[in-house]
Amino acid sequence: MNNAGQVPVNRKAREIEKTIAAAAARLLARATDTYAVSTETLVPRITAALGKYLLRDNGQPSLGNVNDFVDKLQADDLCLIVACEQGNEKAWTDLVARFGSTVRSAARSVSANEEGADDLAQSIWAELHGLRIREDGKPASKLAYYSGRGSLAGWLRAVVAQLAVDQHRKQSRLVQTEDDADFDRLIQKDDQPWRGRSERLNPEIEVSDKRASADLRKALAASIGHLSDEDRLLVKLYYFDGLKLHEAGAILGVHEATASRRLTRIHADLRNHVEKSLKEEHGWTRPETERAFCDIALHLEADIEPMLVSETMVENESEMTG
Amino acid sequence: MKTTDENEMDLLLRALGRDASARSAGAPSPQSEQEIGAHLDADELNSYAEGVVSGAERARYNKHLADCDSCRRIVVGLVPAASVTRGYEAVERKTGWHWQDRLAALFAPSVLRYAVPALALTAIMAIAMVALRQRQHSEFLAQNQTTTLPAVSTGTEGQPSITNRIPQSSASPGQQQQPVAELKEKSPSPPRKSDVIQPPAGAPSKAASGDRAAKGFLQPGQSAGVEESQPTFAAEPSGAPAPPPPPRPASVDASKTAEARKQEDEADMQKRRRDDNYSQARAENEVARAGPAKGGPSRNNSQNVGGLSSVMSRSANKDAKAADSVGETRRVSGRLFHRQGNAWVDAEYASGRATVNVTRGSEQFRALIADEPALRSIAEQLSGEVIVVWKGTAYRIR
Repeated sequence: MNNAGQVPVNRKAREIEKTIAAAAARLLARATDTYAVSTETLVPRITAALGKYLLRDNGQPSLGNVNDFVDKLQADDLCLIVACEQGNEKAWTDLVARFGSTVRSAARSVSANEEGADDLAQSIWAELHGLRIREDGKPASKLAYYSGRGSLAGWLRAVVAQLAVDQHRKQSRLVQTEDDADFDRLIQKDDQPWRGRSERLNPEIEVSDKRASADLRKALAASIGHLSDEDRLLVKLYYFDGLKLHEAGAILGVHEATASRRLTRIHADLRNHVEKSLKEEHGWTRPETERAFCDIALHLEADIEPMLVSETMVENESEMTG
Repeated sequence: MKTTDENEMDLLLRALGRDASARSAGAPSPQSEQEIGAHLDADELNSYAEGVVSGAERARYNKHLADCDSCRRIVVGLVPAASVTRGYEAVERKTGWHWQDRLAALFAPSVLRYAVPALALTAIMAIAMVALRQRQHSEFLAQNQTTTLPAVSTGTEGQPSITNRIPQSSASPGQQQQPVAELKEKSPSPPRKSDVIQPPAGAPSKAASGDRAAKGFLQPGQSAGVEESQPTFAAEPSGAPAPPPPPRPASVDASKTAEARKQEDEADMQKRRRDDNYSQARAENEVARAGPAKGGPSRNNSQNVGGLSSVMSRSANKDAKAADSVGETRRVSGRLFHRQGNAWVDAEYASGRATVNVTRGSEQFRALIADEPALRSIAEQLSGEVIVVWKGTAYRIR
């Protein structure tokens, strides 16, 4: 609702306006129930969405781009939300009837208990109704931010998840001191999973092993930071968020097999980078690096084998089939 | 080596991931917006999760999501839901098939390519089965009619003897005439009729003429009566096809009459059996009458045949007794068999002669038919007990 307004008033801009109006009319024609939403109401909304998405990456969109963008919008969902914003009672009834369960299930999935889920769902409806008043005195309904690009159900789930994160953040700020203590404790214990069976080794070796693993770990974390955005995202999704390969692929918009190949390449890249940085920063020789990798991996394998064996097998299988 | 490297790296990354998630489980990592850029709003998160973003947008969001744990987790939470929504859509599209689409799919060339030959094959098999069953049925029909005959002839002197002709439509006139004569002579205990008429012993001339007739296949003019009776045979309403073993008039020659004579001894036995069958045959007569009675012409013809038979009876008077002994007869593998009770008896078999008893299915039987394949066909074609003289030995196959 900002960029579009700043488009210089020239012939091109007028053409785009006309195109948007025509596209809005088409969108209304596509909707099964327009809830008496007019083209005039819809045009600013569509213009705002164009400004937010299309114009941001493409300052001079063609008319074809505009038509394409508008024709892909969710006509029914957008009409429903615009009508709700205008205070259409029937639209509100429909919204609650159709999406009440969506909001409730989304709230349940991000809440620890049923009570928390109910509270969260209540908050969502309050936000949607615009019961909260913004600082400038206008009702702050989140409905204004729905562009119609994705599905309304998905948008509502995202709203619920965001609100849950916000609430969590607020709560955690209140108990920050306690959390910090936990955090410190965790850092203290950091070397635990890396050491594995090292308690059997003599203290001297243990110390050197510990240092080696700490160095290696730092180097690895730094190497991940040097990966490309997409590769880093894949590593985070797969290793940090514990997603399956096909799920990570779905988020990245690639096939499972592609994700698998990419992961193999990332492993090689990371190893090269880690070896390089260990050599440069700590003066490790290549055999030393290899030995450290081997030792740590051996310990890790022994440690995590019982809990990961089934998971690894399943994933390896899926990778092989992929 | 490469696999090991990869495995090592995999394990290291897993351990790192566990640490990271354990650390952030207590509290969200304190990432500043300056470091990672502005958080994505709900609309952007949803667009990304549903995959409706352009390449440039995706790259921008990837950059943020790779570093922002909270936004990434929201997306992670949204994507399974988004794929479920897409899955539902796919299912709906699939189930939402219009019936016309289904019909079109049914008649698609790829389906028809296999379906049509399969259907044709099924149809052929069905037709073949029906045809075979009908043939079996007709065999039974023919046998029934032969048993009904005697009773008819006793009831109405010669008239229904026409029914006897039904299965003989392809037999020569000479042969056909013969039983009629017999009926006239021996009406109280009429002879059992055969599907293939064996000329009586004392009628070589008749047999010869039958021979000729068979070659010309029902040439009229053999005798005055025959001319009239023939059309009826051909147009017999019963519609029964030819009897199972096709008649072989060529082999019915004068020499066979000698064989027939040998069976005179058996004639008495047959007569007794016929008497037993008398009452049963009478009951069947009622049924048999329904068939021939429906057509007027057949009645007329039966009278003609009656007339004919009276003519014939004069000439064949002498042979009557011999003919009487001729029961149901079948020719299998070049051998002539007479029906005696439940048994088929080889014409060459002399009554009272010692037999080697063989039970069907027994080891002995199998050995016998293995040695003599002709016996196998005889045993297969004749049901019940069969007495056959083979290479000088009489076998009784039960």
